[in-house]
Amino acid sequence: MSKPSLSTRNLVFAAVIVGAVIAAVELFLRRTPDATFLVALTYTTAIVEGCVALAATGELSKGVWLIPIKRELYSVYPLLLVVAFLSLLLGAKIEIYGWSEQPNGWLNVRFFLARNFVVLFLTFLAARKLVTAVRRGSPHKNRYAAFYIALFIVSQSLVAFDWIMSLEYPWVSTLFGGYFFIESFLIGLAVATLILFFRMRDPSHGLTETLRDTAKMMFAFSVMWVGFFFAQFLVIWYGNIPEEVGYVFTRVKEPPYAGLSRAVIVSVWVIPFAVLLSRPLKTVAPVMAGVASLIAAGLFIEKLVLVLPVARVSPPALAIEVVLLLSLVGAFIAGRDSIVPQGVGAAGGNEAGG
Amino acid sequence: MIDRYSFDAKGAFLDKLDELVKSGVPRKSINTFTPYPVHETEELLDRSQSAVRFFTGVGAVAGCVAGFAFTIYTVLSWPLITGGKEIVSVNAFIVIAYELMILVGGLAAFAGFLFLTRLPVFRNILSDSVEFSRKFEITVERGERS
Repeated sequence: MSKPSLSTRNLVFAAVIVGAVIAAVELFLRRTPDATFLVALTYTTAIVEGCVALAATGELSKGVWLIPIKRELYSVYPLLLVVAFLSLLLGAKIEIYGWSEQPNGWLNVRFFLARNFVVLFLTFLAARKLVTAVRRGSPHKNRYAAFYIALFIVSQSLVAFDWIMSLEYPWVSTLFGGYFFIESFLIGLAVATLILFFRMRDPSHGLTETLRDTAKMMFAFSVMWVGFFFAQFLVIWYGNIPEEVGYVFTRVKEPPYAGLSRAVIVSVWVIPFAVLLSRPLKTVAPVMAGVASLIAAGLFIEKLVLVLPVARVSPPALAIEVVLLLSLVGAFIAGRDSIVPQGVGAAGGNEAGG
Repeated sequence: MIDRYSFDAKGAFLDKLDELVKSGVPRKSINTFTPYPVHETEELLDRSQSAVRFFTGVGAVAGCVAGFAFTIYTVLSWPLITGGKEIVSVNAFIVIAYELMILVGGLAAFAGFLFLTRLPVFRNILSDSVEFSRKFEITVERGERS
């Protein structure tokens, strides 16, 4: 694809329209406080931050395997700004947080919105600096990559602790932040696999080894995800402290959350583990796209499992918001030539791997 | 009896190897010694995938089963209720089973590697002591190993 399919102007226009539509829906059409927007926003943030984090990690580790899809991964970075501004809409739904009635030093509306906006905005700035450095071939790009990854960890931890965990304040899990940024990285790998799937429809793709390497990474992070999940679960199960156990008990024992939790484990770990063990299947693009979709869907259901026991969600509104936001992610990836021009990374394949 | 061919350059070495394979010399009787890894030799000698993975798989499954069997057997033999948990608490036993799976799988892989490569070898695999240095060597074993 040599000529830009979507211009920067069109992409910015699409981002503004999507942001405005979601803001209008949440502020004027759906005034009841529920977690619909929170789920859509958390999931989109994980996708966007995860894609850029994957590319930044490849930059820092000099990963040759990632070069063919680096531009696509970087191209979603402007959406970090959209996500930062959209996060302010949580102020209109603040009643879903029990602490809003009894605010304290850390959990009060203004500080909650301000710190999340500031961290997301800084993450956007770091990503922008990184992409600019990569485009110019700056020798400082590794510094910016490291800076972005540090901010990515802080940002995803804040998303975990503030947006999701504080829904059930005073329940706490110190691993929640780590669990979230591993998840985000895993979604980034799933998106990378889907990008490869679409690019491999071109017979002269030369991306087989890149797909194999991406599949290996997806396998590794799927195992790491379940490790983090089990590490949290085991400590809470062992401790059996009433104020801790209630959170987990609701989600793993009570219907319908118990079924959904099992579906998450099966789709994010059991099936990917079984399929990705196979060496030949790692190079079959449709199978890998299926596994990536399953992981992405599983992690979406997981966000619902975390939120649903404490806040309602409107399925039609959630579907509309998620479709709009994911379409925007897709549009930015398709318009990569406008955001990260040819010459960054490599246009061709990488059969040598590395 | 062992035939030896020695080369200074990789190209000549690969040409000879190709010639030997095409002339019908059994691939199993050919050994190569190179100063650095030459992946073309694997293709020419058509080395199939290593069987070590079967040792690893069997070892890992055995370790996992042993981990669960050992923990369940011991708690049933000496039942103590701890922290209000069930006697057979699978959540806690997963850790033991997982560790044993890795341990036995790893040891089985190492044992399988030694077995399949017939290591350790306490004698020279060539009839005389040779310093290969930067040479590319091909040895062909004719007849039975002594």
